[in-house]
Amino acid sequence: MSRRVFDTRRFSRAASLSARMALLAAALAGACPAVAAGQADRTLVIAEEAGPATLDPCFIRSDAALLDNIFDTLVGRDDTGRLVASVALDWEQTTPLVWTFHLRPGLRFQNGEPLDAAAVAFSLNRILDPALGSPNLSYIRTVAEVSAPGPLTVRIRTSAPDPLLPARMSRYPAYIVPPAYLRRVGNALFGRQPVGSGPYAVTDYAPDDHVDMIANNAYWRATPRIRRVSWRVVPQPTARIGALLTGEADLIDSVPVDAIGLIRRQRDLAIDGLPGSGLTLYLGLRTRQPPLNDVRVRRALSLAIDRSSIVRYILKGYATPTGTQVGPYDFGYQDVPAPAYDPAEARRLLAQAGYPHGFSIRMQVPRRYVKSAEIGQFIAQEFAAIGVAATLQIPDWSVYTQDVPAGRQAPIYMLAWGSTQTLDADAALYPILHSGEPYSQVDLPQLDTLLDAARTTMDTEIRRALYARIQTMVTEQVPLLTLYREDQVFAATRKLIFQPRPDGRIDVFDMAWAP
Amino acid sequence: MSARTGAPFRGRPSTRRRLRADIALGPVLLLGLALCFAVGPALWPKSPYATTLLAIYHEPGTAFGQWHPFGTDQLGRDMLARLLLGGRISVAIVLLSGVLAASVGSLLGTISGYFGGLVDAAIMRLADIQLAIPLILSILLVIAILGPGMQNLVLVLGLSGWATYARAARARVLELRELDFLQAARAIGASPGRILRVHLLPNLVPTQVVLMSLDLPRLVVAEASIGFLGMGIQPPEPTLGNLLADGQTAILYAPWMIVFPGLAVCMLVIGFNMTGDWIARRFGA
Repeated sequence: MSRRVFDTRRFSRAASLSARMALLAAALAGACPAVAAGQADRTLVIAEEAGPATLDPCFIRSDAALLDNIFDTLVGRDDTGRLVASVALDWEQTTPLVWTFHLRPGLRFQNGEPLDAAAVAFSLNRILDPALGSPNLSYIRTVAEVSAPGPLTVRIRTSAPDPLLPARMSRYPAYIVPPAYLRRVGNALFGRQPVGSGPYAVTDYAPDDHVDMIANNAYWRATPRIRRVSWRVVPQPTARIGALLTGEADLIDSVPVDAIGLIRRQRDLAIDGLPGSGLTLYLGLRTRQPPLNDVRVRRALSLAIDRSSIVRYILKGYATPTGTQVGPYDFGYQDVPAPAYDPAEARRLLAQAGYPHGFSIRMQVPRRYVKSAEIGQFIAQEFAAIGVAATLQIPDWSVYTQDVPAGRQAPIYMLAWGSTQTLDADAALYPILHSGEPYSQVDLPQLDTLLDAARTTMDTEIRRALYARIQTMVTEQVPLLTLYREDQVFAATRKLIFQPRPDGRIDVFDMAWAP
Repeated sequence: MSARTGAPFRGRPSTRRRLRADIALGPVLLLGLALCFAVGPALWPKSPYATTLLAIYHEPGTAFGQWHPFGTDQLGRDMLARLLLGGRISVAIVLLSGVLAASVGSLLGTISGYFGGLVDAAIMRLADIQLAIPLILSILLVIAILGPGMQNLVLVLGLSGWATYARAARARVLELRELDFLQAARAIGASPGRILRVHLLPNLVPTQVVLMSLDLPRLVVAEASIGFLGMGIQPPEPTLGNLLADGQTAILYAPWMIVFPGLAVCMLVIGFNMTGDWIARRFGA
């Protein structure tokens, strides 16, 4: 199979070579600029696992990576993860509750509309407007009021001191949209024909199929080096790899780990992985009901899982076993080693907790993450080895994503969590560990106190110390079973210059065709 | 098929030879598969559940001292053991739901045909509605509500297929109703229940059996599709559909994972189809 695909590719390369020879001949005959245009005009095709249901930042539920290319934010982030100037040249915290941002002068949207403080205030207030019901409101919930005291000055008041406000202004959903255009076309049409101030403008969009973009030549940073981009939705991993092998796609995301060897054997393709930059997988536990309300039972389950074998054999090493939900690129990260694998100790703990013969329990593992269904089956077997009979269910993703925040999930359930919006421990921990949060099944008052304190403390060192204490407490109390952190794995043609980033951005502006 | 059934066997030597020539390829194939699935899991010593992480995606052959004639899957489990058990589970589902569909359909069709009038109209319109709804869609809807599991799967596959049986039964009953023995039964005062039980239903058996043998391949494919979509029996339990779904994701680097279950589904469908034809020819139904 792979052999044949490879040969086809060679054939097409030969064909394109002869086409290029023809171009060269034309160039020698006196049409020199045509050659340069031919290379720059090549469309970059990105095949993604999932596509956006709308291009309106107010209503997106996923796929911020695509929108990053259309819209700008007040604050930027460089490829090392540092916050840098973007639409805002600089910013300061005027009082504990008020931040002032000074905008770059002379910016315009792709339709010529000026990008000023009023546009920024309009964009943020739109998401905060409860009448619109934006699913992304929680990301900037700390913002109480946004105003524009001057054409280039934006003032943001928060409801409590928020150390993460600049980080919140660096990513989804805090994109800046053109107020006049949006008022004219309305929300529904804006979701299909958006206008931003970013490096690329949308030319064609078919939901769940493709988004075509063209470079914004007036972009304030510079003219993008790649002229045309086409984002295609290819949900099947096999089909995505097929598209890359045949040259239909230049860059694909979520490469299945089993196919990495196959891609590595192709001389013109490269795997671009970034260790520890993906989501952190965990088994959520409904800790309010027996038997999982007993910390000894939770610790026993944790000791029963052989994380290093899962990573080594099932994930082929493209993940890192870990003991904390916080990622290595996040502020507040502590290098907590993965819990030991000790089934004998697990059985002893279970007996101590009053379950010498184990118990039966239900477990839900969606087929959403890399090899998750396989890993679910493997963990169910390891639970069986300590006497816990776990009945596995593979839920439908669309049903599962509604069941989990509503608290209708099984006692043990797999989920992955990340912190790409702010690259901060708060995003990695608070939503899944603080009591009362929709994704949390945990009730530990002491942990709540620490999480709340860390969320509102401005002092960097105190925050770091708080997160260290939180992670130690989580290790002791085992409110959930942290498993491993995925690597983001991309595969691309060697003709493309591309570097994966810790925040999962796919910025075409930073890419170029190899000379 | 229709050309052959059109010529009933009269016992002439030439016809008899032709009968012997196409002797039971379908039934033989089907019996062979049934035997494999029935006793295979007990005879083949390897467990369909035991994972060997070192032997993930091992091609057919020997891995770490263990012989895997059909290779191993994404958790290093023996594919032959999984195929044998998966085939057994799938065939069980198909047969149970086939019998359920035939029973419900025959009963409703008989009632419809015998009583006629409003009852007939009501049941036949229900059948029209049933036939108008796309099969997989209705199955997925019901499974999403009831949850996956063997019981629900049999129920849903069985109850979604009754309409064809009901129509065939109704047609046959309309024909039987006018025959003398039935008129006689009615004349001596037999109750409708007795007429249904003693005179009508037994006379339906031959047609319904042929119909069922032709309907089973549809159920094999339906079960495989549901498993393929991940809405059927939950892993680690294998079924033909689950095995196909697992194999599909690995088609580029472990093609044996889809080839063998694919062949099994093909052989099963061909076997049922040929057996249906064979029964139709053999018993002239």
